[in-house]
Amino acid sequence: MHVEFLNPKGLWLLTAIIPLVVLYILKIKRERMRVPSTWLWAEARRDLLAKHPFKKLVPELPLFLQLLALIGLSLALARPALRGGRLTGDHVAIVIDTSASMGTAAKDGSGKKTTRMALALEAAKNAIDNMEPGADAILIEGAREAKIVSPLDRDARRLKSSLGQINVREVEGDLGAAVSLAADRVRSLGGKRRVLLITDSALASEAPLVTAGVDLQVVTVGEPADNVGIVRVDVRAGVDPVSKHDQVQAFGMLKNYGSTQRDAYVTVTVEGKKEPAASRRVLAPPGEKTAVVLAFEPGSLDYGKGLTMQVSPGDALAIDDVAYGRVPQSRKMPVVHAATSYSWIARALDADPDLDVQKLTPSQLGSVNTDPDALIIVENACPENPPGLDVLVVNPPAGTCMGVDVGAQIEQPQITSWEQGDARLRFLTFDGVHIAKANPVKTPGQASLLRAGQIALMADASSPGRTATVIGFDVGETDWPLKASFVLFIRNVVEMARLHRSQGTTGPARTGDALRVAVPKDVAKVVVEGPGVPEHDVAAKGGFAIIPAVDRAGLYRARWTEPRYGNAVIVANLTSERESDVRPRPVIIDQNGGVAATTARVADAHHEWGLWLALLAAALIAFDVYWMTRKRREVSLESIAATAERRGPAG
Amino acid sequence: MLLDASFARELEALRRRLRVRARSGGSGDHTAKRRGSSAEFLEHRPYAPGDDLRRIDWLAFARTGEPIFKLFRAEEDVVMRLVIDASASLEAGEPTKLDVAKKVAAAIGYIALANSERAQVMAASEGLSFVAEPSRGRNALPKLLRDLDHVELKGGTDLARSIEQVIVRSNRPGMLVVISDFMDSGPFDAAITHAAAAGHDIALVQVLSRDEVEPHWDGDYALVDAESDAVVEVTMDTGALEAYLARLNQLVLGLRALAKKVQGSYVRVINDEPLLPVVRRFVGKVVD
Repeated sequence: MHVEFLNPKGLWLLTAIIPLVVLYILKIKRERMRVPSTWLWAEARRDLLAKHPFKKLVPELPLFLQLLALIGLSLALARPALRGGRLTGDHVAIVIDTSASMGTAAKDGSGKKTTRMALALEAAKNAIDNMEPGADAILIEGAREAKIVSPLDRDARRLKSSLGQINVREVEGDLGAAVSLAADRVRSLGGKRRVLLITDSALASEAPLVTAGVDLQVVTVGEPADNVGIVRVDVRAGVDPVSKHDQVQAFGMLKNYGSTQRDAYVTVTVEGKKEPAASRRVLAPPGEKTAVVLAFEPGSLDYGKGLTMQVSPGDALAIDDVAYGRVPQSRKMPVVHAATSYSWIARALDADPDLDVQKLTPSQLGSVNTDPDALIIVENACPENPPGLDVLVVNPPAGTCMGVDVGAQIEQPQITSWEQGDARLRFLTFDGVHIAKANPVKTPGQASLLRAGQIALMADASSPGRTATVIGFDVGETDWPLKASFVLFIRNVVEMARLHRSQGTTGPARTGDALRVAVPKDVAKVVVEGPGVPEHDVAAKGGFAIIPAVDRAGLYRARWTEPRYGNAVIVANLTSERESDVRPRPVIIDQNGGVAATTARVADAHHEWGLWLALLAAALIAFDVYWMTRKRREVSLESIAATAERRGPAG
Repeated sequence: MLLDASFARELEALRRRLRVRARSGGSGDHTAKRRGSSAEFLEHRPYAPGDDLRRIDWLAFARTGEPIFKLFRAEEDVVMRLVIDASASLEAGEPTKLDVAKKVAAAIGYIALANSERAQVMAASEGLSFVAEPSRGRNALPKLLRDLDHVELKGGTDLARSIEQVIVRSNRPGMLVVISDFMDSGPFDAAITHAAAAGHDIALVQVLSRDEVEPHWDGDYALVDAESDAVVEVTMDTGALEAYLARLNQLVLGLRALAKKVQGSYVRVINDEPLLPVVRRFVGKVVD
């Protein structure tokens, strides 16, 4: 337990002592009065040794009182606080928020720059120091996931040593799991139990913290801070309208959580280059989002490289001032068309100059090298595990295809409805489209895209990281290709694949999530490295490698060497609107598992006694005023003599 | 006016009550312990050659045939030495302490002269600054008053030195009346004791002003010593006033003790109070 000043600037009031003392030592202009003799005043004289223009400071009760009052007032303004305080409970679960917002800059009691995390660790140390004798504590850190840092332990030294393992994680926080885990760990123990949550109360999750009967004490650290963060980033390939060259378009969404307009520069830098590729000044109004688009023409070696978008100058939270992306591949979208004959689909693909179509037979899929980001279109067949990114299967044979049940052929199904909200069917209509024959497709648990009564003619067979579509009829057996909606459909599928390609092999990944890397299906091992992650092997199977959840934003690199060399850049971003909002918010606690209770900032992490000092100062001032204005006691020679008589004969 | 007629009449009633132990040696109304030539019979003794034949008791000689010498008690007068402190400190008050001191001296002197004693006025400052010739009898009252008029404020106080000078100048002891505020930082106890040892009958009359015994000042003052011009800066709060009065009380108690020690009297007079009670206490030889 130690004393700190929450407002050290208040101590400046102590400088008022100097003029106060000067006022007392300054010589008073006195009225001259002639008296018969001054020797009787020898005992009464106060400043016989006065030197001009100052006099010696003599003990004065009013000065003493005023000095005490001034010191008391100054200390009261400085808000002295006893950090820690007695932490009651036989078993204490200390949960420390390690979400990204805990990296926000803060100031400690002495005004020294630090972070909320450092304050939280200090608060945790104080809490450990102030545990009741014999009490034990468990340390849990909570970010996206809960993690036990130290099991129940009575040894304060070991517990404090464990605090050294706790760092800020660049992830969106969700303390629910950590608090529930903490409550679970102490609930079954006897004696008094308590969960101590140390957080900045800038919680990303609005879900109430459930303690189910265990007392929860929330300790808030840090002060409100203004922050501007990149809450969304998207990098796409485009075409320069003038030069018709490839263009990289980096879209960023900035949100200003402060109360004043923020003037900032947003720059985009390609990995490995010192000079920014593009830069733009942005005025971010308070409380609003501001979109910024930075476009540049990529160099021939830039494709596939990492890209950094940065807001400068930095602010309270540095983590969300940077976002990462990947320079998309060339604007020409690779498409692998696996068909046995020239089809309407081939015609539609050939009509698009921005497509790089690789024509194969279905049997060649998997044996011929294809672009890992390519859109795979298969007609009249169903590949077991197609390479590439998105997949469109047209008229698969009866059976199971991409997880979709393909039924027996039916004649002349009448289209009745379709999913107009799906991106693949956007802006098109199936009115007037006639189908000669089709194989019904049914996806368990998923909605069909195109329906003929109860029969699904087109199904969504998407899996995580891959959009797959299964069409249960041969477009050549319909009049659909004669309609504009067919071209629109092919265009929509291609554009969706183009979007997925621009986002990389893993799609938009966020810190705290596992990263999924698409690799050639026969790759068994991938070597991964990234910020804070040393190079290590990750197993791959079925064309995917799963990298465990990362807690730092940045560019991760995966490479594989067998059966052939390949690599990919994986991007992980914080991009969390809730986490970038570093302003403290009420912590919602559900102690009974039913009713949610809202708590304000809980201030018992420290005990302020400034109020008492202020009251003491006021009392001193009041007494000083009384002393200086009191009615003087009447004294006379008789009263003095009488007192002397009572005391006995004079010597 | 130092002495008016009504006050003199009241003093007449008091004059017989004055008793002075000391005798100054001259013929006077006061019987002396020694044998002398007054009308008061003391004893008989056989004649011895050389005795004054005029003192032979002829009737006793006729009866006894032996020359018997008749002894009478001598009658001596008293010199009332009125030592008035004329230092600048007696300028204070309204009326000034010096005026009061002179009135007290005039009253005591009147009593002395009315008793056919001799009275002598002396002024004391840093030494005896004025010494009048002693005078005797009621007819000498105007001279006494003129002598008192000659007493003027002059310089500082050195009571001890002044009293020592009085002792040296006095061939015979008498009554030594010291009228002063006794605000003398120097020790004068020894000089008073010395005077008492020399046979002087000591009477101390302390003259104070009302402001001195009941100070009502408030605020910050630079007190200037009337005698030395020394400056003392004082904030007149209760503590300071208490300290001052304690010191004054100490002075009063010291004078009282001194008077008792020399078997003299001590009378304190405030400048604004009537003088008759003071004189009454004086002749009663009280110690205030």
